[in-house]
Amino acid sequence: MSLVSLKSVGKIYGQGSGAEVVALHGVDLTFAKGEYVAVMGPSGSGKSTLLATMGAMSAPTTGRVLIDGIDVYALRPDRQADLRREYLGFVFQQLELIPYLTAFENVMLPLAISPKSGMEDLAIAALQRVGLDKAKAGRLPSELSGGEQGRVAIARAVVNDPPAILADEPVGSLDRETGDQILDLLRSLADRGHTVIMVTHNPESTQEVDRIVRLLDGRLDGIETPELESAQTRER
Amino acid sequence: MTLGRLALSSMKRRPGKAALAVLGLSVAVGAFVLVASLVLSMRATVDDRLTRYGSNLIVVPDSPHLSVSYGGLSVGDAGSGEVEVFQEDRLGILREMEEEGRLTAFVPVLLEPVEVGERTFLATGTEFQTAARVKVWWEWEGSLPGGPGAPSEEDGVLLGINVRNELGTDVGETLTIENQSFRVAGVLRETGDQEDNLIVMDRVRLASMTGRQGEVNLVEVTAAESSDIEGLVADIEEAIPGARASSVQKSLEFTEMANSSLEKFGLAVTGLVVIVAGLVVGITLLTAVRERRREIGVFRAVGYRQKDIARLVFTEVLVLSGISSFLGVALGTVGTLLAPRLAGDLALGAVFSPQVLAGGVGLSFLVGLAASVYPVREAVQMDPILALKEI
Repeated sequence: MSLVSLKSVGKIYGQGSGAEVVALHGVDLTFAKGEYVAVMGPSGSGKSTLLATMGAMSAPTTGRVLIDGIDVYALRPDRQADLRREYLGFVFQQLELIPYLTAFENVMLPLAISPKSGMEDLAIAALQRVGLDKAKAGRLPSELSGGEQGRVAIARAVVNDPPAILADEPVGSLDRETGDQILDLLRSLADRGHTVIMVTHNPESTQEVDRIVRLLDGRLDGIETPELESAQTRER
Repeated sequence: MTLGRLALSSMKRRPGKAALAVLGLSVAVGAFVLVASLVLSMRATVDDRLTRYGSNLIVVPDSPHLSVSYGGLSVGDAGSGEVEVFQEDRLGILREMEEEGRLTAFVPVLLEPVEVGERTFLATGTEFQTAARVKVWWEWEGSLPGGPGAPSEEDGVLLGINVRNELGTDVGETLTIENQSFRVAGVLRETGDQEDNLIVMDRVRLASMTGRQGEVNLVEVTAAESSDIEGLVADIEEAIPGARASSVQKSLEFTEMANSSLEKFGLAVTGLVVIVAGLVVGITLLTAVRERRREIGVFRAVGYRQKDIARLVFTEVLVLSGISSFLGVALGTVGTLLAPRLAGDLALGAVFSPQVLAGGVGLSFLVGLAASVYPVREAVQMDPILALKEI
């Protein structure tokens, strides 16, 4: 069953300005629940635009985006924000941790909008799920290693237990070992039922994914499964 | 963690900007409290003086011959032989009013032209000590007749500045008036009024010199309370048939005008300071919001609605305004306490009004919130994608 569906999604930047840039051309895609998908393509292929459009943050020029059957851009902006909080978790390329908040407080961010009892426990559980103990929870991002910061970013993305995780080059700024730890975490999230959609340009990051969506010049350029690709390679 | 704590954490991270905004707002609130307190203080001082010295009334006979002006009022054609007069014994009602506390003082005055050499001047017969108390604007060189080291009230005179200049007679010299010798006890400093043209002498002596014993041309009355003036006018005119009592409106009008001008000036200065403070706070907040574009982008991405972003910024503004109101009121209070020392001759007192202090607190929040409208608008309208540059 699909969680995220894109139906003929097109995106044009600067429409009507005379300097239009077509970022997406009628893309049709679906992402199933619990699926771990990598979106690949060269710079300017439209993969970040695709992620932003799926993330209820950038309305498509044409087409529709459905999340759990909800037409995202038919909602008012405040409802779109609610949908982001309930359905989506974001892991940004630069991680974007708030520097003056502790790891625990960063993880609490999505919960702080509507405080409820027990939300501290949720934040602690999210940190523990990514392998960070209470001692690390009280530290500022600047007091944590790059890998630990990445874990905090993932804990923040999953603290609400959203069905989908959108990750933009999550290991782009990390060393190999730390990057592998983050990729393992994303894999484990998918194994627990989250739909993980990761934008990357690095083929090594796609080893654990279920599916690779390739984009070129804003168009779908192929969908692959690494296992099938590996099998085909072996056959040759 | 709540949005409030989040806002506080954000402020702590930018102590310089927070301090600048607090400083701007505090100065505005301090200026408001100081200026408003000073206006109140000046009003209180003037009212106190009016109350202490009373608001002058002049009681004159109701005469059809109205050509001589005294104290801003026409009192009759002195010296023409047509001047209406009171008999002194009709003034008992004023003594009763003084005993009742409605009057601070009253001074019967006799006006009579006198010859000094070949010149004629208008002499005013009065009671020096009481007159000096009523006419608080009097200043003189030398001394008051009857005072220590001065000639007696009967033998001494005070000269108006123009009389002295015309006669060339200085303090301590002898002056012959109507062939009788007087010593010049003092010379009145310029008043800008007709007192500059008078010879002030003892009323009883003047009456005996001119054969007008028991006669009074007018009575200067000092009311104990300015609010009682209208009542006094009515009561005096009723008790003394043929008398006309008039209040010296000029001083009241001038006082009102001066107070009004001071208030307008104070409001203008405060308004200017408030506008500048508002700009400082607004620009500081706008800079802070723009520096936090990526941060706001993260908030929006994790599900913060526009109103949540507005709440975050407004919470910071409310905290800043709260701190500023406290500091500003303290600043204004210190300024109000110091003002009397700096005011010198104005003899101001420190006047604190709960309304002014509450107004200062309110002003802090009002300016803070008004100055934050545009920065908040920019913050809530930030596109999460643009804020993050690229997701």
